[in-house]
Amino acid sequence: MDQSPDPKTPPVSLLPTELLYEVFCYLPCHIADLLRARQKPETPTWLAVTQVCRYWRRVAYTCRELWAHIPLENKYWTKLALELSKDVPIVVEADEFKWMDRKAILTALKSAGRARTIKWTIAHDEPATAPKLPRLKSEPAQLLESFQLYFPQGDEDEDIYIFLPHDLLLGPFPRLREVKIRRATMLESSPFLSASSLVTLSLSETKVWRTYRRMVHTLRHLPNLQKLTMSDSIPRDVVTVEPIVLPQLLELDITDSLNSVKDLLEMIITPRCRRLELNCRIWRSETTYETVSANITAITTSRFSQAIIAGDSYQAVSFSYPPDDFQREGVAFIAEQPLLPNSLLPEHLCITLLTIDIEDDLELQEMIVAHTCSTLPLLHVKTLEVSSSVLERSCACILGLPYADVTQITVHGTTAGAFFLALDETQTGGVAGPHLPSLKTIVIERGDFISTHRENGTPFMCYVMDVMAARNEDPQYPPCKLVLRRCLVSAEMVAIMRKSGEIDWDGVFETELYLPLFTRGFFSREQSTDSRGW
Amino acid sequence: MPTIVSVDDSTVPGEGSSRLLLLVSSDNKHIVVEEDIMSRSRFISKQVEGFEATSQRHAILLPFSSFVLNKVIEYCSHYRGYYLLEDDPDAAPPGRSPVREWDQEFLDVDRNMLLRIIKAAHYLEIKSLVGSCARAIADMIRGKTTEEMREILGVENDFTPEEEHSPSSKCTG
Repeated sequence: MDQSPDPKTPPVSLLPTELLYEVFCYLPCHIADLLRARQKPETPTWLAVTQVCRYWRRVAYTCRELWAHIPLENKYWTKLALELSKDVPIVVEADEFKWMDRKAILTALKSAGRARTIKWTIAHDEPATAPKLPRLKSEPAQLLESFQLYFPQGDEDEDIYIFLPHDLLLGPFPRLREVKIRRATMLESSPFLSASSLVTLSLSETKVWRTYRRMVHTLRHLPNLQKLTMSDSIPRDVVTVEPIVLPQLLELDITDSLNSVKDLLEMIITPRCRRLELNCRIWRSETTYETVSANITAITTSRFSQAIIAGDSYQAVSFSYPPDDFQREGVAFIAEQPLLPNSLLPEHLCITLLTIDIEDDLELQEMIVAHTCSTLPLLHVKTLEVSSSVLERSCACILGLPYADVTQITVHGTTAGAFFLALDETQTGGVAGPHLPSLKTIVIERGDFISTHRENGTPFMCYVMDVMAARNEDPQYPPCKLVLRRCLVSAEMVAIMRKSGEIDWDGVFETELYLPLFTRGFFSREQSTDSRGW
Repeated sequence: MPTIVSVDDSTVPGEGSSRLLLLVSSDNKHIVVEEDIMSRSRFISKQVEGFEATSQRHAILLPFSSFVLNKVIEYCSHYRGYYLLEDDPDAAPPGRSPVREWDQEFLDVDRNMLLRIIKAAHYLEIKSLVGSCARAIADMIRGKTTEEMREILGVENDFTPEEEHSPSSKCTG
């Protein structure tokens, strides 16, 4: 078959077959790639490619990689892609919220023997009963590298979990590196939990059936685990056993009740762990101040915490307290408890106040943040992260501390405006001044900078632009870069920012292009994805 | 095969640990570059092996402009001494090379330049650069309509109306 391009094609676009093939290999993409490219996802790329010209169509049909990301919008496309991808490992990303054909999804999953990645988000319309997962009679999924199963988050009181059958896919999975499961029930002997190649394990609202002791033993069989995320997945009724050493673990992210966190930390030792994120919840109905205090003391004196101190390797400590469910007195009480020993010298500090109850109580917030800062030595902080609800007055506490080494500030959401304005008021020159001599990067995450009626953008974004300009014009400071990550930005704002120096567009949403995704609830799922590794 | 021109040893020193190569672009610009920098190019490496077999060193004539050649040299200089998985002949399959921030900035050029760089990288057999360029081109057209793709890459529609609207029919030319 002659695959040379049509001679009428302009020379500059005359790509040889092998180069066009290479380009097509990069076209199938995960949604994250799509967001990075900031393009609208409405037309399936493979469909558009086959309609450009004869030459492109010929190359497209021979490019197996182009078809490896299996389309699931209808059964015909699915079969076509399965056929044309031939022996190339396939990616199946099924999201039942996106009008995908359930039959097409099952057809694709039956080819799990060829799958490199399976990501399945299951819709569930009837809250009273859990859907049953089919037992797929597929060939062994020996190429599987990533398995992700998401059952939609429900009410806290809704005790419905999808059961993940042993034989959903045939194991073993010798290449499996990533498992992420939300709101499921599974056996501790599940093949998904026994792949020794596993590097990342995330369990969210997931019950591992049998005893906690055995669940921890499961971790013992994952010697290569580097990132462990457990969100409301630590079972109650803990059995104390010998501590489990996770020799390769680098990141640990736990969100659970304070009691469960304490139990887990007493049982694992992670000599190489570089990042710890603890989000402790305390349920008012379950605890007294005395038990809370005892649990916090247990955490700070646990083998885990002692290993942190001895190891001298920690770079990150993150707090998320006080709990959602406490009133003022409880919050104040918790705020006075040092959650981790003062001897820690974190290089990264994340301050998060998630509570809803004290949203309007600025005095209390200020007290909490001041106390948090006073319990942590901040001289070594290099990256500072401030999350939602840390309002203007609380910022004053944070900003009164020395940040000579801070090279990066990450600010979340609409808090960003208040944070920077407070910084400006507290310190002469604010961000642009001598208070942050080492600052090189300002990261704004999930900010909302839509301005349809202002020609010059939102006041905050204008302020940031001024800060950037002031810093970058002053030769005594290093150049400063602005990173916008998962922000909502209008086309007008984009135009303004593009004129204003160095900006890293890391997954910025251009409103006009991405609005359809938000209305399908995509954004809210992505939000929960990042903060907890989901 | 490129045209090979004999080179006077005084022009291109061949001794020492950091030997120099003379590259000649299609616009007849002579560019001297350390052999070590260009070792990422399998094409250049094969040429150098040929020199060693014959004990003679030559200039290497290349079929693209000095502007493009300088961009390729800039890329090779940046990654001098680095192991890049894609340049390993037994490495990752196509379409799986990682996103590198520096590459994205480096390839933030206009369409014509990007296409010239990928062709040059292909000629010089620098797989990592081919992969990064291919990713950049794919990013340009991903999510676009057919018409937009044609416009972006300057491709002419040669379908009959019937062919154009039957995407699933395999065109055999």
